[in-house]
Amino acid sequence: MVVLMTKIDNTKIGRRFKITTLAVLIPSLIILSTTNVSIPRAEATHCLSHCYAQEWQITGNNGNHYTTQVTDLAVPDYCSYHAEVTQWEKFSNGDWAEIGFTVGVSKTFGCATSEVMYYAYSIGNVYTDAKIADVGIGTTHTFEISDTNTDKTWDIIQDGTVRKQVTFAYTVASPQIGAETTTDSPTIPPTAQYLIQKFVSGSWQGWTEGGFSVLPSNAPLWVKNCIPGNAHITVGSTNYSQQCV
Amino acid sequence: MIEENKKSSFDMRSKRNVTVIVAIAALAVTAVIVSASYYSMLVALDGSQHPESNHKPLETTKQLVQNLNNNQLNIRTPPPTPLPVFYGNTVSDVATASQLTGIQVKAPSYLPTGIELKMVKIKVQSDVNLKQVALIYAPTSTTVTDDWTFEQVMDSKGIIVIYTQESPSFDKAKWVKDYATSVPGAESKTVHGASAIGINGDPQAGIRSQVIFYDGNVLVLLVSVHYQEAELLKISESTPLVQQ
Repeated sequence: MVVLMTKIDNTKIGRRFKITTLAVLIPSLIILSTTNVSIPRAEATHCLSHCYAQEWQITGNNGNHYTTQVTDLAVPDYCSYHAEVTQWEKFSNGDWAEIGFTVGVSKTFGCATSEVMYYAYSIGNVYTDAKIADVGIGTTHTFEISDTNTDKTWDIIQDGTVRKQVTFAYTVASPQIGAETTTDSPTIPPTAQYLIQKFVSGSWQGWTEGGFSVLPSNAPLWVKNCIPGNAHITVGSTNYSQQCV
Repeated sequence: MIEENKKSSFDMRSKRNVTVIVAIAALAVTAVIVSASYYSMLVALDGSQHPESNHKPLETTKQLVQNLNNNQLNIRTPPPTPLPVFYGNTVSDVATASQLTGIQVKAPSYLPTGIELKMVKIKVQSDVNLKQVALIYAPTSTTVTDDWTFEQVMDSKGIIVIYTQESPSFDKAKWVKDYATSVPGAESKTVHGASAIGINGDPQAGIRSQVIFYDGNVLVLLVSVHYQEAELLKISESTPLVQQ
């Protein structure tokens, strides 16, 4: 009986020891593993504040359009990040509109795991985005934002179809064109944006001047000015070599 | 002996249960601490550099939660825009701007305490019939340079007042009506007794406030993140009408 009681006590002590050890060990491991993940993330996640590769013009226009061939974009987590090839028209009061193709998280169309054509705009104090349609890799599309009759109602147009009309405060906007992402590890194969044209003096004209920038300067994106002139650029992510397509 | 065994077994189970409860409680506390740290890190990262943001270092749990709700990760937004792209060249003063653009500009006589006129810019572009004057205000202690962006002026608690010449044929009344009714957040207001538009933003969320009114054929627009609609209306009322 004494032997039996000793065995019971030993078993009891062993279980208590194991449970107590686990109670200390598991939280410690969780804290340690989280700490180890968090520190590099804090140092590397500059694209959480959005990264860009873009061409811009100092002159304003009444509209801008471009043509592109859809490429296979990817982000590490389609419900946390996004990446797009797009153009922006910005107004003097900070309002803006954009149109292009994208993958990833959105305010209104969820987590796009394959390419979709979309537009977005910010006017007054409200941001809006919308999916136009799913789109196939390799297909060619033209995107336009314009106010050709200068009534301040701007048309957001995909392949000749008006997808949205928005009344802004101005008839003139500043154009920017390129790629955007919120992840440090985007996949943007070299993607051409060509036939870039602005609407001025009542007609469509090619860009003849433009500045190029990658923001921030260590962003994982690039933009290349391709022949001819500023009316054809190629954008991509740094895991692809810089080449015009 | 049987009684003793039963008692011993009961004691053992009771102690084991207590130990399990302690372990679960420790895990729960750890999970809460880890989640809070992770969220605060995400919010701090997200809010620190966003071009249209006015975020400050985290101060309270309420602010932390607000910032989480306002996080910008699912929003697409344009790159920042340098001031010369939006507003053109810098000129020495308002009188020069008026002379070069033909827009008779009178600066507001009322300004919030601590801010001053930092820069006068003009943009004239004939192929799009654009004539524009921009007055850029910022806190006295701030130095605004030409490589600043629109977003930086907003983040520095600045105000931009933009005067834009409209085409003579432009239907101003229709546009004011369309804009006031179609733009989210826009409200009909009056400035100098005439129809105007007010949009109230949210400084904590980095959302701009605006007031828009006409002086003759010149559209006058005031925009700020820090100063809200009521303050912009006061500035607007202090801006002398010159076109009539």
